[in-house]
Amino acid sequence: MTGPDETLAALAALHAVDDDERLEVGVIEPGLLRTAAGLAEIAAEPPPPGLAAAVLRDAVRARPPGRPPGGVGPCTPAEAFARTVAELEALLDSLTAADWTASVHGTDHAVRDVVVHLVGAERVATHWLLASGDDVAPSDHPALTAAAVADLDDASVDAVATAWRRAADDFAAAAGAADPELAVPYYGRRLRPAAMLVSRTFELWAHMIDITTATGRDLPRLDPNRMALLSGGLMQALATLDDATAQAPVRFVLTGDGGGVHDVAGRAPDGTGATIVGDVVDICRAAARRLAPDRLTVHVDGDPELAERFLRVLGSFALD
Amino acid sequence: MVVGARSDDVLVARLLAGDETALAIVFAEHGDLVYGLARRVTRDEHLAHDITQEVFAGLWQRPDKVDLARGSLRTFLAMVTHGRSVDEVRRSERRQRLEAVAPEVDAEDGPDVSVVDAAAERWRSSRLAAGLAALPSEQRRAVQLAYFEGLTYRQVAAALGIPEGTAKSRLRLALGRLRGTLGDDLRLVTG
Repeated sequence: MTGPDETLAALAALHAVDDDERLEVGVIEPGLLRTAAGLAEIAAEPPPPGLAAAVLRDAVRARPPGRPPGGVGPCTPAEAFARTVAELEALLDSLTAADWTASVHGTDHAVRDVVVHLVGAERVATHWLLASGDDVAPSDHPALTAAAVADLDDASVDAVATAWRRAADDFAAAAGAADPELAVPYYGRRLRPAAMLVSRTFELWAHMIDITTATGRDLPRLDPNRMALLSGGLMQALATLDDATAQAPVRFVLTGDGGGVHDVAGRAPDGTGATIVGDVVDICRAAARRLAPDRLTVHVDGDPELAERFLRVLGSFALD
Repeated sequence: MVVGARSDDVLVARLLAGDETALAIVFAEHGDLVYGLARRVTRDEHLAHDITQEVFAGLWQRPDKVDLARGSLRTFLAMVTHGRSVDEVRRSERRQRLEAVAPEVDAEDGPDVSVVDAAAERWRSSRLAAGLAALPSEQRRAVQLAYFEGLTYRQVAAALGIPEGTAKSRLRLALGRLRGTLGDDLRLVTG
């Protein structure tokens, strides 16, 4: 049997023959193919000075860096929120009575409690948009939303789902009508309405993960436009963290659909710093605290301690 | 967390994501192969320069073309470079010169370093060069014409004044003999 690498090597070495006759590569012995690959190696020689720079200059001229080739850009925050609301509504419609009582994360919280929590979250966000926010910490989020939904204590699951949808629509309307430059206090940060929509989309997605996991369904998959928006928002937020930006530059390379390259704190001229390479969905799940840090696989080029510091703060934006 | 973002699969993922620093790493690791192979085949520094730029620009623009299930990144680059270089040689006027001048073929079997051109002196210290030099002269010349001068299989036959079937046999025998001579050394260079 010949290995695929050897087959390619043979095709390279015997390229000259290939035009005249299709070789039956499968009958060529593996050792012969390896020999053919070796022919290329004996030609290796250091490239002339300046060629590396010319290669990079031409390449980035042909394809701007930062995004996958032909890759999708982010959708608008309003579109992202609307699509995610629609998907969560469809998910809730599909739930059985047993699903509504399923335990989330093995706790005494049921799926119904999660949706009630979301009703509160939308109402609080809307209130802050309309009446300016209060400075509260992310850790206050569950208690704050619980207080906002006392009226749903005895409500049916259908009523809860309806209440959530109405609250989500109210929030989207309020965000759309707000002054785009309005800086709303939002769990320790000040966010523009667009950024609030991104944050809300992030939370809806996180809780969709909770519900699908609790009820044995496939995890929700956001389209690349939304992943690009959420990951971009996450990277912007990461750059604002004092304890993170105090360090040397870090580049996140987010792989997969909706991924891209994000220099969190600029690049040092001498190349110091760290490059963190990870799947865009996994990075966002870790940020939502829906993937344990020890289960997050990333590849690091550069300073591993610096990368570790950034990865540690990744989940600090999650509200619950 | 995994320290080390320079394996082929991670580098290709970085290229796909748009990380231009990954292209610089790929060039640093494989630029010698691409440039050297292009120069060896075309025998033209300017062409080799252009081909190297084209190969890496192509990788940057279409990293999705790399199928690591089929071979390493280095093998992919070698394949693309060689194909591009051969195309260039065949397009150039040099092709006619190569076809018109049939090289002399030594009648004797066995090592004959005089047939290996002067540029090959630099390789001679390596086992690969030694293995090539140790080939029977007609086999060595067939490999040189086919691989480093970009002649087609039929052109090799015409250049050497031999039947096509014989040219094919010589190429296969040459590669087989190199394998026998060099054995596991080639595993090191072909990964």
